Amino acid sequence: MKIIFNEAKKLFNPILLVMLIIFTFIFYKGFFALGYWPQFQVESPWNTEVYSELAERVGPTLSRDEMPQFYEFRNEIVSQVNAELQKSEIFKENGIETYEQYIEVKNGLQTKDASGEAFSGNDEEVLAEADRYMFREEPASELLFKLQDLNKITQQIDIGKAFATDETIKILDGYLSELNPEMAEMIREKCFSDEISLLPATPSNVVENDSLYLTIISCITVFSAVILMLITDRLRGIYPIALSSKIGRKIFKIQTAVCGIFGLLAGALACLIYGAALLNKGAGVFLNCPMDNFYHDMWVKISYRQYLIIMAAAVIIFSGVAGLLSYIIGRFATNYISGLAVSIPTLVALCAAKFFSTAGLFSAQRTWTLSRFWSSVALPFLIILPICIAVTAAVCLILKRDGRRDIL
Amino acid sequence: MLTVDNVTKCYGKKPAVENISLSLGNGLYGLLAPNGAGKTTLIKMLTTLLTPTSGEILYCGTPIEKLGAEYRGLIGYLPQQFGYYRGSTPVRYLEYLAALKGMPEKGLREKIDKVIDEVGLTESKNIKMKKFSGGMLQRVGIAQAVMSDPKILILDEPTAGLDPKERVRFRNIISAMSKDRTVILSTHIVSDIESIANRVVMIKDRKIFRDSTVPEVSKELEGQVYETSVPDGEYEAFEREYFVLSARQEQGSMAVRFYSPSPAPYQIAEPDLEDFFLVTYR
Repeated sequence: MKIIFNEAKKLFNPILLVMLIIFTFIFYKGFFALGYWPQFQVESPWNTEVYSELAERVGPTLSRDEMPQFYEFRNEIVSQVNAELQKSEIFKENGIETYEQYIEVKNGLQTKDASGEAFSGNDEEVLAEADRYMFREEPASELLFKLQDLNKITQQIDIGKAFATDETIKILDGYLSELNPEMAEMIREKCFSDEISLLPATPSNVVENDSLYLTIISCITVFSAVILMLITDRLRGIYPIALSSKIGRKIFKIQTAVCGIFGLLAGALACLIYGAALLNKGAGVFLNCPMDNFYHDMWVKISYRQYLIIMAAAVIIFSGVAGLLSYIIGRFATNYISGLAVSIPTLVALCAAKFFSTAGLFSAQRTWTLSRFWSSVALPFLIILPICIAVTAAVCLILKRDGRRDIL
Repeated sequence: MLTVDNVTKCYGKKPAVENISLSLGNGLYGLLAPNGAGKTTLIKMLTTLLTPTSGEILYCGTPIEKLGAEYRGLIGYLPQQFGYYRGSTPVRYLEYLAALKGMPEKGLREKIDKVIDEVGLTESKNIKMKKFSGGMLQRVGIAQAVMSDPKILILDEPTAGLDPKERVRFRNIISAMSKDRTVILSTHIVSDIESIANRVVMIKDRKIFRDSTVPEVSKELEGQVYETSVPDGEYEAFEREYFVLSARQEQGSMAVRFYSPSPAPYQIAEPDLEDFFLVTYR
């Protein structure tokens, strides 16, 4: 046990640790989507907030029975919007006092604009005021965006994609007939579901984006610590004494185990810190939300919590693989430069494998060309399993060879 | 008893040592040969770092590969290039190596303090080794080799970097230890073993050339080593005629010690191990 502890202790190089912390901070600022929470990609920041507020009120899903609560919630926001709209002199002069009137006039003007009809001076003034309310006037802008996102639920019901009946599903007949039968069946099943998941787009998109960067950070940490330790051991001439001592060549097995465990722990620590930050941002309210809803068409029925666990497991597995791979590189690299030269392409390949194995995991939208089996089971496993098996086999062969080979 | 039985080691097709046979009981064995003669290869086979291409090494009749950890547990080894961590202190480093050697935790700190004291590093025991001189590092190396109280102590060029005072101290430590264990001291510095070795093993052309006591080896040159004084102007001609073992400048002449296999008209000197070494590897 003491030997394991001693070998593990050698991985903690204080200078390297400080450098990695600085690197992680810069990397976080530069690449992590969590820094932009609650906004990410095309969604407004209010998209996440409004679903969070609704989920707090009705729970992770919205059932048919909870629709009155949904409308009550929506009406509260509509009332606030109405109060804001009534503050505008321009709207007052044009008879716009309610949200419905605002939408009707705005849509009318936008249609007019799109069709190339001539605008009157008043039209331009009203449209400019409508745009100002939508994008610049607070809190009206926030409230209008929230309503826009809430309307997606009612729109889903209107077009038959949620709480469908035999009548409303007919609206989708044309759309469903275009899809492959497996996907059409999955969407049809979702249309008839009694619940709508209140998971917005951002929480899962952020995690998918950041899980790659978490893998990059933990793999870089593992590679730099392990390779530095092993090359230093060899260049300093530690092995002749260690290998002729009672522990002998078992030291190689211990170092392998320490590197593998270090990889797993580095990945786990990265995920824990990230998980805490994610919950701190307010993602906790979505943990029990099913992933499958109108934002995500999912092949596999899992909750957001399960999705987070699967993504964390992927990061930890790749980090563990990085521990073993860096051990192999560290054993064979003759100096720091050659260690670095081999590490860079290996890291790139490892992170690419992570990206392709979990990008759009279980999603029918992003992997629409693939069947349920390929996108949700075969693809990730076909990438992850062979990597794990190949790296483990390589380590076993090296250890077997180390048991006999000459230490020059 | 450590037995080297007809051992050959080849790197690729090139032999480094050939048909080496030795029996090593308690006592100090000086392994003497010039650099590159195969001393380190033999030492590495004795420490299990290399495997013989043919032949075997036995400890009390059992091949050392079979004994494995049991055999390695009996070894104390100081390699030619002593490896250490620059940021570590002697105490921390010896604790690390003690764990690798499987030494019990109980009384370990006292044992470490004792060996550190024996090699004269007590005052520097908590200083990082990156600040140490070559001699101080070599003393840490000696401390780690002896700290587990090994039955077989193998030292490869142990006095490199030590000053004369440290050499004497080292010789005394090793000499005292050789009473009840096997000490193998590999060196190309004759004076390191001349006064303390029970037996001298010399390697030449990859094979054992001599395996006997220091007086026996020295005696082989009896009547063939001479001393004389040569005027400065005649020294070059003298050097061409005889194999000069040593020469010292005096006023207007050179005090010369030389080897001549045939009788020479000069004063015969008492041969020593260094003379034999120089004649053998000339």
